[in-house]
Amino acid sequence: MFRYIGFGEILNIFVLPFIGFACCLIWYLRHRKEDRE
Amino acid sequence: MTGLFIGLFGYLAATTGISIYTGRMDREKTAKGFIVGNRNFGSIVTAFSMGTTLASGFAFIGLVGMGYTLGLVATWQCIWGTILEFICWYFLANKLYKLSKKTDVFTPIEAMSKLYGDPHNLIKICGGLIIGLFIMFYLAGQFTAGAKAATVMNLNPVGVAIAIAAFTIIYIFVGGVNAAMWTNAIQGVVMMLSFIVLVFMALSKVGGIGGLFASLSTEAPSLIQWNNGRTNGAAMFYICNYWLGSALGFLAQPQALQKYLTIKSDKKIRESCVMSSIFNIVRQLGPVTIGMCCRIIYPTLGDPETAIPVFIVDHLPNVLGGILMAGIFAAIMSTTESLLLQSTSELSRNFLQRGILRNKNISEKSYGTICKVLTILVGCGGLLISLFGSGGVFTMIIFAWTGLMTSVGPSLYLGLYWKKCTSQGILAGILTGVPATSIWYYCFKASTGIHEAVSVVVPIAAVIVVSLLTQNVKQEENWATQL
Repeated sequence: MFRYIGFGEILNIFVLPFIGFACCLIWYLRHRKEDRE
Repeated sequence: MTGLFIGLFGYLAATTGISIYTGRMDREKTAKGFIVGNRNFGSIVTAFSMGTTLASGFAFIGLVGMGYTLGLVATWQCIWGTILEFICWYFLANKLYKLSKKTDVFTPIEAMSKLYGDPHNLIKICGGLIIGLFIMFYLAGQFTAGAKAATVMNLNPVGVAIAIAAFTIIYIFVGGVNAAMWTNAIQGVVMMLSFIVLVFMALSKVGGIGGLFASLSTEAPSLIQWNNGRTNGAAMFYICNYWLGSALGFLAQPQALQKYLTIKSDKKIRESCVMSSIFNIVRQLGPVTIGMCCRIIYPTLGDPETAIPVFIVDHLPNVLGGILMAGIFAAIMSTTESLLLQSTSELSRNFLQRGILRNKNISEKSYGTICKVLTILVGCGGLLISLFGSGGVFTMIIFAWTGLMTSVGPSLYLGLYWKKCTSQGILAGILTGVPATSIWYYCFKASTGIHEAVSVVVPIAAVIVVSLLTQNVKQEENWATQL
């Protein structure tokens, strides 16, 4: 598939859609201890 | 085809059973019991319920069509959607939950009325009425989406719209928020599994991801380009104008914010946020991928929005196909349930109980009954608009999404985070949101080409200007600083 796409497309498929999820995950992990108490 | 119907009706029977069972879990027949239940929903139920509320028929119908016609660029719906959904969780979930627990408010509009007080009950009356009635049009759009999916199965679209309305009213009437949350969660699981199965099936038909890109590169190269064949500058404008504008509604949909008020504990919020985000990615990247595959499988499809139903009928005319088809109706019905519950809640709680009937001596149990009667009236109202409204109903769903955000978002975010905000400013934001979006949509969108989401600047300006003008007016309460 990489023969047909460039850097912009790779970002669109593999990186950008997961930014929101990464933010959620960081938020969750940073407060995991206090959430478990 | 018989297998399809067995699967579909089996699913409907199962969700009805769940609705009746969960409705019996909480026997409190008051308005509170109907709207927020026992506030005992865990992170998984909340996450899926939130996700299905936001997904709607658009995921299976509209987004697939966009993947088919626009290709890779449609992934921006997922990119903006997940980022904005995180912003909504991060800035609103904890504060709304705490406000709800401390002041015993049941709906987002009621929460806004509590922030700085509501001297003449105008926030509750106007907010409850605007949100309650505007949601009815959104509801009508969902019934229309269901009818559209039904035509592929050679079903009577009017009959299907009536059936969706009837099932939704029954779910809410029987079980209130308990039934809505649990059936939404089950429907979320059905939707997620449907997308996963359909993505793998569609990819297998086109030779995997490599085959898909190879085929699209000869069929229409712009479909696998991030800029959709535009120059970089034009593409950036398109991505910020159209895709960011379309996704901006994620910031504050009242029917989704309601879920923050029903979660078991604030310690479940972040966990729920992560699960909701995963669901968001699956339900937005899945349809785009399926749409791109269907472009290869059905290059001359008359209506790209029917790609999923056509694919299911052609390749899975059995019980599994019926369950997957149920995913479409699950998306529509879960959103309809939340919309119906939200509309009923805003009208009964804010417009009637705390608004125009606040001085009448009506018992809590009677308001529980009023909620149920309103459920039937609002559901029938939405159905009538869907059946007899002009062709603009389905279009209305698109700007109702933005209109609800512009009415609620600016007042809520500024009310919670801007120290100079006043109750008068909050009311100004609520009153200007829907009219600003409607005026831009009907008068300026076509001539300027700019998405109606830009109208959000009007309520933002209204909140700021009116708040600054009313700094000398004593505010009844100030909860924003105590959350």
